[in-house]
Amino acid sequence: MILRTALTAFTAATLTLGLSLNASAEEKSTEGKKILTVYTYDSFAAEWGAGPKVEEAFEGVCDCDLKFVAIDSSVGLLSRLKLEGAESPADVVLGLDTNLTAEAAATGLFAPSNLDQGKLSLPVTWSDSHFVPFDYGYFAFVYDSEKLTTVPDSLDQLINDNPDLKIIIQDPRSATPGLGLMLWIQQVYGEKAADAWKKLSPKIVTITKGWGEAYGLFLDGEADMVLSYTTSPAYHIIAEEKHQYKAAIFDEGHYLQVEVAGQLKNASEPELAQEFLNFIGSEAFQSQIPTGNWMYPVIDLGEKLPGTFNELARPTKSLLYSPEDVQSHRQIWIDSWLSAVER
Amino acid sequence: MPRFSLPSRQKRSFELLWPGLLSLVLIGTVLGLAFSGLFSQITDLNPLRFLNNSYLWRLTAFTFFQAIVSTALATLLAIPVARALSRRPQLPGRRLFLQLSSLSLIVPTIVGVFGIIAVHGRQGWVNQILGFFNSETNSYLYGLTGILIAHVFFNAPLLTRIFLETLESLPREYWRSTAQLGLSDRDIFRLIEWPGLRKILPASCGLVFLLCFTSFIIVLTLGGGPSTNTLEVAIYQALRFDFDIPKAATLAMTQLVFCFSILLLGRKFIRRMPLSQTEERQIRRFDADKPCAKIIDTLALLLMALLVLPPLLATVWKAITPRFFTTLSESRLWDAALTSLAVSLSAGMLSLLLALGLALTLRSLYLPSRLGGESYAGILSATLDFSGSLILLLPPFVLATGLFITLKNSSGLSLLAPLLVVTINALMALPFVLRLLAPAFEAAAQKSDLLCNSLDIRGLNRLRLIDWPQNRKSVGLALGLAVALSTGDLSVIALFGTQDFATLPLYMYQKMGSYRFEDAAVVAFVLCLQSLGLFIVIERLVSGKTIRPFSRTQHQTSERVSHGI
Repeated sequence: MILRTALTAFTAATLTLGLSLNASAEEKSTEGKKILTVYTYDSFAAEWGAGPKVEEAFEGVCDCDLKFVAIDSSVGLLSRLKLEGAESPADVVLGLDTNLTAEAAATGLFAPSNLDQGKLSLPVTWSDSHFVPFDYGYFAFVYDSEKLTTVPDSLDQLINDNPDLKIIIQDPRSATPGLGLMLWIQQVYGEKAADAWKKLSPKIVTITKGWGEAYGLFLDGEADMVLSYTTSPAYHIIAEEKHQYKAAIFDEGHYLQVEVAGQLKNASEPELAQEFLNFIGSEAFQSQIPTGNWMYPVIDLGEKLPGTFNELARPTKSLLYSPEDVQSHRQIWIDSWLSAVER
Repeated sequence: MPRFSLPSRQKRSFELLWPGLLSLVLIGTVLGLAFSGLFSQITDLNPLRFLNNSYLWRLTAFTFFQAIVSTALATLLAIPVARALSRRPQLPGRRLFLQLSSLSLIVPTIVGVFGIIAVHGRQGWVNQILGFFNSETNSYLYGLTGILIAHVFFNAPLLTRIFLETLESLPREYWRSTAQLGLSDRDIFRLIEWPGLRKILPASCGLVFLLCFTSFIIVLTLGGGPSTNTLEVAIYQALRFDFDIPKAATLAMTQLVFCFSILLLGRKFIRRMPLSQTEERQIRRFDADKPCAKIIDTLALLLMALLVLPPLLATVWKAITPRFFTTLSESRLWDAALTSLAVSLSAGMLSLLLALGLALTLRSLYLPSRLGGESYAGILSATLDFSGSLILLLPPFVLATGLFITLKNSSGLSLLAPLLVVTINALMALPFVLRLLAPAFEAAAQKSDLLCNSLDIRGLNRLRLIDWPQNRKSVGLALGLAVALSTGDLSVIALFGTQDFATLPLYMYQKMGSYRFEDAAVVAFVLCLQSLGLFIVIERLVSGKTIRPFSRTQHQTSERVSHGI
């Protein structure tokens, strides 16, 4: 009936209206307080992530309202910023990594951080005038120790031994772990990186767009190993009490991912943004990182670090290119990666 | 016919043209805003910079190749299945089979892909069964095979529906004659079924070809690597990772040109495509009893069932985890479900309104008794028809990015994001909706134009008294499909979702992005239920399965009108 169609239309319109009103109502409730807008990737801002607790802790000390805007990935963060340019409503961006910082700095949208970063406890010495690290982790291949018994000890073994081994990785053109592996192999093999990829290629089951698909496929038993982080087993131990998942530690060292935050030049609340950058190095923020974001904190938490993290296998050597190196070589390396894995 | 009662020619043309032109203007505005946004970011455009790239051409070649093979396989499966179903109207479970297989039309792609992996993956059901018989398990899924399996899974049911509708619309007398003449199975296909199918084959296969050509999540997850990507993936990467708008625009234009040529090839036939719901009417097919026919039909139905049903079953199976009730009790899940409901209903309605405008004018442009004879009829109908399919040629995220650039200064994101998601989802459902409505409206007009003219029923009265009862079935199916399709979409919301604005697919994706895969499976299950539920409820409500006593006379009249009695 026409009546029913009209009714459906009416319901739809009401719901949409209600939704947008909801959104504006939330903005109203914080009237009077200053609002700090932080762009981050969605697993950080998710209710089970570190975001909500960080928000609570920061609002307790700042007399302000911290608003996270969740964007699908760290790559998405940067492209959203480029889209919005100088008019971006963001005050702070949290969630870029060192492979993106040179490109982010080149946009000219970021302000110097003016922070003393001496007390950081990172596997590398940190000196960046614009970006403040908030966590780090090592890329690694994760496996199920109940299913895989002969585990490679090195990248070299992964590439050359056991032809039946199957791995799943992410695409360096769309996911930061994928880019990490590409840089990892590049740093270990140098000019022979393309050959290494050619040899590794038959072992790759599939190359996914994002970390989530790859890890999901691995848990479904689609591969023996998946490219992830050395800290991934901690999730299974702490949240699920499953102990069979382990990260393989390689002799050549592991490529490092340092995740950073930065303040925007055109931030509407520059003082608040500065306060937040300062807050990142505090215990209140850092203690949410291990079980919220499943990465290592950038300060020594001592007793506050969950015991599981101390028990995790830890690489002895860390590898990292400078942001400028990544920026100037990324396209060349990706092109050579493409031709090496293209079958 | 009393001439004096007819309005002047110009007035009549305007009356017939304005709904379609209004839709066209709306679609044009959206596209105009998007393109102006994109082009405002391009300072030096040198297309050769990007097109002079051998990887890109290999990619294009592969895209063509997989789309052609996928379409061919889906068609080769759909034809025997449609034949089997059309000659066996009494087959037990036929209705259920049709309903279940239409599920693959509306399940969100990512859910379908994970269902396919659960069945065909290295540890999938197939390999587990093979392992049980001590056969060697192997990994056949990733690569071209996976892409083909997925494309057939998603598209063969669509084609089956279209073909079945065509076969059932063939005059019933044919079947009596074939029995009297003692035609063989082959002859029946060659002389009767094939000529019927051939009319709609280019259009329906064209649609499936475009869907496979622009396939995105499927090729990324199942393709196995960069050699099996599609052009759509390259555009995505250019836009998202490299943020190279000139490159993305150039690639999008390349894709548009390729797809447009395909559309042009099939255009002659496109308006003849019926995609309306299969009517469950009785046709006695004497050729159904032959043993040879029985074997072929059983094989076809089995193959289809084995291909389409297990992945759907796997989706349900994966949802049964210890986390089932915990996940269901999360309030954010229901917030997301509500957001999805609002987005999909709005997008579905918008899509329906746009398609109604186009369909009403298209039928006038096609019918010689209306405006078909006018000099502009051909080009205008082509434009209207093309505008309905345009979204299939342009990646939705390119459109969304363009719109975002144009509109970013006009309002805050909290308002802009829902608007963008609804608009683009509406456009994405438009090709399906239009293909359902246009043929139905045209056929209805052919049947009732004379009557309406002689009784001078026009305008809103015509819509209310004649068009609505005649077409409510297709309208219901179209709206249901549009809403279901919008429920499952991830492509636009992934760009513009925020913490406060998350639909079910995005919520599922967020769960997947932080180790919560069991939860994600439960969300996928809820998502499928919501999509299917909306599809069934809307179709029932709008199509009006039950005839109330009050409307009986009117319904019977329209039945008589529509059957030309």
